[in-house]
Amino acid sequence: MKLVEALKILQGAPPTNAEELSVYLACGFLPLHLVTFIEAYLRQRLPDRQIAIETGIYGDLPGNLGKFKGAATCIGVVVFEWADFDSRLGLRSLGGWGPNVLADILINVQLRADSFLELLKDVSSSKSVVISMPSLPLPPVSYHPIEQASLWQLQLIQAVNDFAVSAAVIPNVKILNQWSLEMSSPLAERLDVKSELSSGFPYRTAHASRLAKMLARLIQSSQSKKGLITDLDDTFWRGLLGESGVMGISWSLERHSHIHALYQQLLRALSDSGVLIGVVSKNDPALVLEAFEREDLLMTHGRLFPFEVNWSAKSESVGRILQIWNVSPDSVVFVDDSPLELAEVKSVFPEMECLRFPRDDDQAAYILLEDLRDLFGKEFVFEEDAIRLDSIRSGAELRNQKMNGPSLEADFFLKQLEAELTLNLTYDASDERPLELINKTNQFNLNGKRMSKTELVSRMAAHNAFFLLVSYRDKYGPLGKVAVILGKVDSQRLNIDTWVMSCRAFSQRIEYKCLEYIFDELGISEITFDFKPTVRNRPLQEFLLKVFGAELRPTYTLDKETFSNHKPALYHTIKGLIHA
Amino acid sequence: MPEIRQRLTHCFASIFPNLSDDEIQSASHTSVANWDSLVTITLISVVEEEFNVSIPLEDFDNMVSFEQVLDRVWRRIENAS
Repeated sequence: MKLVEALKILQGAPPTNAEELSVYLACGFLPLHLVTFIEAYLRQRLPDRQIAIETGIYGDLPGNLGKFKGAATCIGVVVFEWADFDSRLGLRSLGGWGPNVLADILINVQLRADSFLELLKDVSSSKSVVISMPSLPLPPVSYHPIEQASLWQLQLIQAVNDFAVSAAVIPNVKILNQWSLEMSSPLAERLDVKSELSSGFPYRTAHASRLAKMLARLIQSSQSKKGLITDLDDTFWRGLLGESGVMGISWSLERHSHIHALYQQLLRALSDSGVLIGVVSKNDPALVLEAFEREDLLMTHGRLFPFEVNWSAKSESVGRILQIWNVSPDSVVFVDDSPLELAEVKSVFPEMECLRFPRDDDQAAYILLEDLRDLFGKEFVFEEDAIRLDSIRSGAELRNQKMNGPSLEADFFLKQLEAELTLNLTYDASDERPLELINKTNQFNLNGKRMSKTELVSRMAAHNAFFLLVSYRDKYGPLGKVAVILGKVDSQRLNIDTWVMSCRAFSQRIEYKCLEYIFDELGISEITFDFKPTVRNRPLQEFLLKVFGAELRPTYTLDKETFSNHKPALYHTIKGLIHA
Repeated sequence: MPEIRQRLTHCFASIFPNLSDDEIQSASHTSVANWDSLVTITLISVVEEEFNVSIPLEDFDNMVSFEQVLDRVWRRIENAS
């Protein structure tokens, strides 16, 4: 993004009554264009929010961190540069670059790093912090020839890296990936000497833009994708199974098809972190089964579900997989080597990311692997990620039983499920799963409202805060933590403003059981819901229509009697209850 | 020159969105209330990006009106060609 484009973005007015996202930018240099770019990228990412960026005083990063602690804003961006660790490493001070000052600079950097670490620990106890470590090249301080990494320089970098490692383990702190920044903003093209000398802003505009883009992504992460549907021939493996036979397909160095082995390895890694992997292939099903008996496969048959191997249009197969996974097309990536197949699927599911596996170009295929890692990037891997595939497989079996079993009555199946709920009424800030559910769930979501960790922590600190985290298991196995309700209690009234439930938990009447528990066990006589329709929360809308009938409206009030009249039969057992 | 004037007007508009094109042509730091030193630096950054030129530090003090900026940009482009 050019500076002129960023300025134009900022001229557009946010929607009226837009909720404000306030960010504190702490740095030792004049933030100038960096503020402009961060705000512009955040406006692009969050068009419905009003963005406010507060900055501190020039040349006083420790002081600015202190100000951030006292500020109302709960998200901070801390941009370090070398001069913050020792002013002699900047261009605007003249403290000397001779050999006699090098040892002193090193000592000073270590002291400063220790002091910054303490400040960060203090600030991040109540706020989220995004950190960028020094991104500029070191000035010509060391007397060694430029091609030689001097011991002094290595020790200096180690001191700063040690600081970054210590900061990375602090809860609520994220560190910007310098290697990723290097890919888009080469080191030699970052420093603007003229700007640093004239105004105290050290970055070229292109570097400021690229840095700001990454910072904005760290402040407001993208939703990671949930599932990947892969083709087989010339994608999962090299060759056409129907033509070459089971031993004719390959994924090895010897057969010059190793890039497919790397692809399988990546799919396995994604699967281990909870990503659903399905197969769509125009092939003979028996032959595919035989191929998956090969022991040298890196991604085994059991890790892939479902298999849609047939001769029909791939979009039809993709549609069936979406139904089984119960996810929306925009949460899924489809990978195929054929531009025609990609176009066919894209024409039916325009929201789906359809990516070509470039079978004849290892370099491009490698970039695809990097892109896939990014699309499925997540901050944490939870217990629920490990059991997701099994629970979906069980769900599919359950649906099959419903279709083919002796009774078509939903109650019959729910009754024999042996469903158990564990209800947790106490918020634990070290558990990241509630936040993941709030920020990833689209379908059963009361209003689409997202929040940061700090917002959640701050909300839960209120004396009348209500929190309910629901875990589920039945005879088919556990689903883990599947639902979260947040709200405020005022006497016997509960106002629910956040309610999300994983799509894997649909149709088990968990939502009804939650309300029943709230009414019967917590002494609540009336519940209000802050509802807002979104493009994706149709299942939630259907639930409201079932309970309240009539048409959708922004606020619903439900009393115990109305609920009792509308609730279906519930067969769950409350197995565990966690209460402060 | 007219094309450069038009592109420069566009640069000014990104920084002074409330000025009309006519007002931009006659703008100076004395006639535009919020035109301070930081605005000058931002303006020069925008102009350098737009015209792919580098304006030396010593010119900064003499770039406090639309016509002065136009003159410096014109000279830079002329020197480069």
